[in-house]
Amino acid sequence: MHAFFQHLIDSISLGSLYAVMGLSIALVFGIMRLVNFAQGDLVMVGAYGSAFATHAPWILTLVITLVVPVVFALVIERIAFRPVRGASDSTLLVTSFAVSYLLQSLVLLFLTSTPRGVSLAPALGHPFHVAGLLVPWLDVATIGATAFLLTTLTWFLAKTRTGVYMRAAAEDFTTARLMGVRANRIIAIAFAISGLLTGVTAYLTVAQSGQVYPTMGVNLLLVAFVATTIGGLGSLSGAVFGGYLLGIITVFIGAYFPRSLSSFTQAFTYAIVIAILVYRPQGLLTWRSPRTRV
Amino acid sequence: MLRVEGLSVAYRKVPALSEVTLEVGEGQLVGLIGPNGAGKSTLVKTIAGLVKATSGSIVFDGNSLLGKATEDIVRLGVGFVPEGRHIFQTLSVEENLSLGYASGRGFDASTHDAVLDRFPILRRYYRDSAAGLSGGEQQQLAIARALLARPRLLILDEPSLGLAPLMVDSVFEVLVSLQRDGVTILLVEQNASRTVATADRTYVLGAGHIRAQGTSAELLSREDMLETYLGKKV
Repeated sequence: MHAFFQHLIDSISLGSLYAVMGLSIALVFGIMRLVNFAQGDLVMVGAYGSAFATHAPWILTLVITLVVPVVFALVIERIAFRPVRGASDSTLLVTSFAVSYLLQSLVLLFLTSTPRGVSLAPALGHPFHVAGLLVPWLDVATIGATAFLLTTLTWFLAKTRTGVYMRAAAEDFTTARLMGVRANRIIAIAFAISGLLTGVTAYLTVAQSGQVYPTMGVNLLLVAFVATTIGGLGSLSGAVFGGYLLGIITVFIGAYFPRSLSSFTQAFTYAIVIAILVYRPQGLLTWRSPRTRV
Repeated sequence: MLRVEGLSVAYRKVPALSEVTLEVGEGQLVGLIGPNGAGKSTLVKTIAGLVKATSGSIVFDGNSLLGKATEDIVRLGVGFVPEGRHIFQTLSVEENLSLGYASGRGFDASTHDAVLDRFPILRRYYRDSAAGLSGGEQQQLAIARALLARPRLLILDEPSLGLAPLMVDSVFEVLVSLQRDGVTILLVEQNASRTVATADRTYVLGAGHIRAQGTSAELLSREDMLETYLGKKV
């Protein structure tokens, strides 16, 4: 029972990371019907931001890690995605891959492919004991940051006028524009929020792994994309739910599967994902198919 | 107030509108009728900046609308009630109404009260999900939402579509009362006889061309109009 709760804490912490990243994908997808595969690379640029500011006071490091992906997200939206807005699925997909490779290549060109060690908030790495459980402060920070972000984002979307316009635009972009909602502004805000979420992911990932490298966002993006898909693409609550579900599946399969099968952990995780998608191809928390793209 | 002149639109080289000319004067209620596929919705979408014109001009209050973004056209004072109502189903009635302020004109308590007085059912379901409203109630919400933006010109695309006859009556009554209150209206409808009877002037669109135009009396005096578009035996 003790081990079960230990794994539960681990899975909630991992799920939180997936949930935040999934949310950043779902937010942009909800409005633009675009799966931005460059989102993982925004984690990477945020992580490099933290690496450059690692010797600054921790609050400055945190701010830089959060701001860098926001700036990149806004620039990417303006330069790469705005010109192809309204284009076909494949055009948008290829654009997002192109941006992803461009960001990785720029880092390779100007920096190096060798992973760089970064000691970010080392105090968070220490665990504390509670009811016989060993809880790293980083897990507390991850779960706390996620809870704060989810609450703030929910409040923003429900209670502010811009939030309501964003929800309207996510449901029916053309009609929102017919009401006077500014398309460029709403999309830029969605990208900025999604950049901020990737910034948080970047800080927590670097604090956890202690290193940065050009392709570090790719795997995280893939996992978060899967989480978003099983929750239901376009559904924000679905992305969060999918993130936590995937975190739980990953940790518990790793913990309870026989040691001889440990190399197949990922295969079993994705077998469950496939089973979920066969059962509900639209995702677990989506009841309607997405509308037209913008 | 609105002048469409020589407007042509094509979808992948297939003409949808050809040399359409139409005018809506201040305070008028102008109708646009025609069968399915005549190009009515294409005209509305072109005025809204959602479809590109191949030639011609659209001028509203001295401003050319061609090439402008949809939201900028709305901000100039053109309000839209889209075909199929397009209520935001995931939002409440109150939130749907708040979209009326997206055009940048800001909240105005007297307009808000006046609009809710006109559509009391919306006051009743104010905090409820808009998805739970009936078709007629959703149409009222769509019109109310557009009115909150205080448009100088209101364009309605098929507002009676899919409504029960009693609700159709109520929609047309609302339009007449709006015109009485000084709102300029372009009414795009398939319900030809009601539109001709209500509008100051009606344009008849067929296969992308303006086939006829005139007042109720003028159109009703033409046998071809009666038979082809108004469904009346001569």
